[in-house]
Amino acid sequence: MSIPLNYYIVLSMILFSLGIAGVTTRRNPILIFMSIELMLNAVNLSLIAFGRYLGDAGGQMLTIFVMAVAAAEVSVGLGILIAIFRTKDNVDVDVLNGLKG
Amino acid sequence: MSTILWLVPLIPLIGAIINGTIGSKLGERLSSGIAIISVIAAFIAAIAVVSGVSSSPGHFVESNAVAWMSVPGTPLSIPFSFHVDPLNGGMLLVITGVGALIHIYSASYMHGDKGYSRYFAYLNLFVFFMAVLVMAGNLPLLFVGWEGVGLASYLLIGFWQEKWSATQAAKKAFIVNRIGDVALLIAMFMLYREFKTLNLYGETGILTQLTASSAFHVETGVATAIALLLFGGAAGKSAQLPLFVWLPDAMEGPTPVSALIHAATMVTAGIYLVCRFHLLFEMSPLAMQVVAWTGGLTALVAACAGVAQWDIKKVLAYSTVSQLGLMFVACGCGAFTAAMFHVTTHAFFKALLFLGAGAVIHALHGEQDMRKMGGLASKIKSTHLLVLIGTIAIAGIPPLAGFWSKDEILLAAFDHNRPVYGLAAATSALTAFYMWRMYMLTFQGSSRVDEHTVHHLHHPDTRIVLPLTILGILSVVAGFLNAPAVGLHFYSDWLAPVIPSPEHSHNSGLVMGISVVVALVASAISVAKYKSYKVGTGDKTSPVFAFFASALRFDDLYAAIVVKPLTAAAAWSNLSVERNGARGLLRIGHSSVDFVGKSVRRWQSGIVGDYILSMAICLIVIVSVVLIAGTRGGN
Repeated sequence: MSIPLNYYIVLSMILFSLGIAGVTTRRNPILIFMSIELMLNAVNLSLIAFGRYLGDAGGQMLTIFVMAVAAAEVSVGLGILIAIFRTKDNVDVDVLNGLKG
Repeated sequence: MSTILWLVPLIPLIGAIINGTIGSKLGERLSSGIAIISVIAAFIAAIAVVSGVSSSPGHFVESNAVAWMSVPGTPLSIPFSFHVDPLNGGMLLVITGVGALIHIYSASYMHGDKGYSRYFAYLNLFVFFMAVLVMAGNLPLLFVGWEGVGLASYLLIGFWQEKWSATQAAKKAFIVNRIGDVALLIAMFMLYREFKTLNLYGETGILTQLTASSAFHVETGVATAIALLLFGGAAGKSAQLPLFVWLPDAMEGPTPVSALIHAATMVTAGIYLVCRFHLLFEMSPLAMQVVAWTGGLTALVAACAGVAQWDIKKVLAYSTVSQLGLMFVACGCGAFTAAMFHVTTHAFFKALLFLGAGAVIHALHGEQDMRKMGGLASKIKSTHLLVLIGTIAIAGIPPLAGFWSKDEILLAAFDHNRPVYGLAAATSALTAFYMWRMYMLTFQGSSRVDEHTVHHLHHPDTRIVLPLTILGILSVVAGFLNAPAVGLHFYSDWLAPVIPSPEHSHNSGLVMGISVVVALVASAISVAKYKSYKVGTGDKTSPVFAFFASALRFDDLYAAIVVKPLTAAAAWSNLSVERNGARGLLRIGHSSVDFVGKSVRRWQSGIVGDYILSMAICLIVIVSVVLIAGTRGGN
């Protein structure tokens, strides 16, 4: 007796939407990072679910790649964040609008 | 032999390239050395070519033809090819020989100029183009040389670019020459229509077809049109009425340039062109009349202007225009040998006079006004003697060169066209008058040079005296190359394969007598009048004098009928077409781009959240579109 595929997809969608909502509304970069992690993990969940449904190990393999890339991305991102904090004394993303046209 | 033919233009070209690229780093000695050696080498090559011409059975030397332009499906095929026969061989010797002398002279004259190597690059370039012009085996190649010497002339007239008047004179020379060039181009088109080729020589060449005129027939009207158009081109290059106005202004260039380009070689290209096509001109009595009359009137107008000049170079410039007019008189009277002979002797004595005038100007630290000269005979002795020789030669006093060549022209005019003979004889008298006037004002009488300059005269060095001496000797002896009166006719024999020798005339003695008397009387009057000239005496500001001094106000006439309307049209077009027309259209274009940019730029807020939101929305839209399209396609 296994959980149907739809449940996973719906859960994944909910998590992904929460992630987008967090990224767009939060101003603290740490929370934005966490929201991005949430989105990535939502995708991971759907990958594994589809992999299991299709009986294919590719889903799990891809998930491990995503986790590795996410770890690397976070470390780079935090590094940039510290550099910004050192030069600007501020990490509020709404204040950092240097790309404004 | 055909290889040596290529060397004549190529060596000066190499010299020009070296001086034009790395010349400024070479220093004066090396820079002028390269230029001089390249022209002397070209002169030696030219001697080899000319000796080849005299020893070859057909009296010509031809290079191999290198493919250049051709139009498939038509007879038009234009190769790079050179052809030298007695006519252009003689010119080639003058160009490279006198050119070499003037290069040597320039090495000293231009000493210390900051454009020293640039000057020699231009001068070598000129020799290259001039060689191409006279040696060209077909009309388009001739035209390349024709335009090339115009370019070199433009560059050298405007050599002192920081001088406003020099740049204006350069532009004037270039633009006035273009008018003649258009005529020459149209003549080329018409020649191609008639002869189906633009090659001059060879079995199907234009000149060969003209020789076999029994087999090939050109209507007289067409021949007249082509001849007049060719003469139009010649009149531009050789400064004839009504296009002569550029030559006096061309004196803004350095004096050796005036000697080489605007006296000895380039301006005689028009005479060469007419002589080259003498068969065509002889087919049309009308064209011959036009040539003779234009030449005669130009000669007289320029001689009148020469009488009223105070600038020593302007006297020589108008004198050149006048002598060129006499050469066209010879052409118009069918005496093409006499025309080419006068080209040669004129090259010698006019180059001598210009270089002598240059030496005087150099000695006086750039003074060109004859009212501030005088009494220089005892101070610069060598220059004085050589200019005296040149003056006697051009005044037409026997037995110097100018007498013999001018006498041939006068004789031809006397036999074929009496009214034009009158013009030419009057010109001769005026020539003698203004040349002695120039000589007396410069070298005799009391000194009007200011004290400081007298004590610091620039004495000419060997590099100035040597070319002057050689030209002086040539001015004395060159006349005997063709003096039928004393039984010498080397030059007409030499030209005989191209231009038939003139028949003997019975009036020879009479014309010669008149010429001698006229020259001597005019010289005597001039010497007497200017023996003790003081500033403020004699001819000064009478209206006639001023009218002559401005060359019959041709410049004012052109300013009124050409320059002013054109300037007005340009001003109108600037205001209505440029400012209000084209610029208005451009404004619509740029302001609409500006508007779009301004409205779109608000999207770029710089806030990361906004970007991600737009990304998400776009993603949703794209995915929805793909999914909907996918389901539709599936059905």
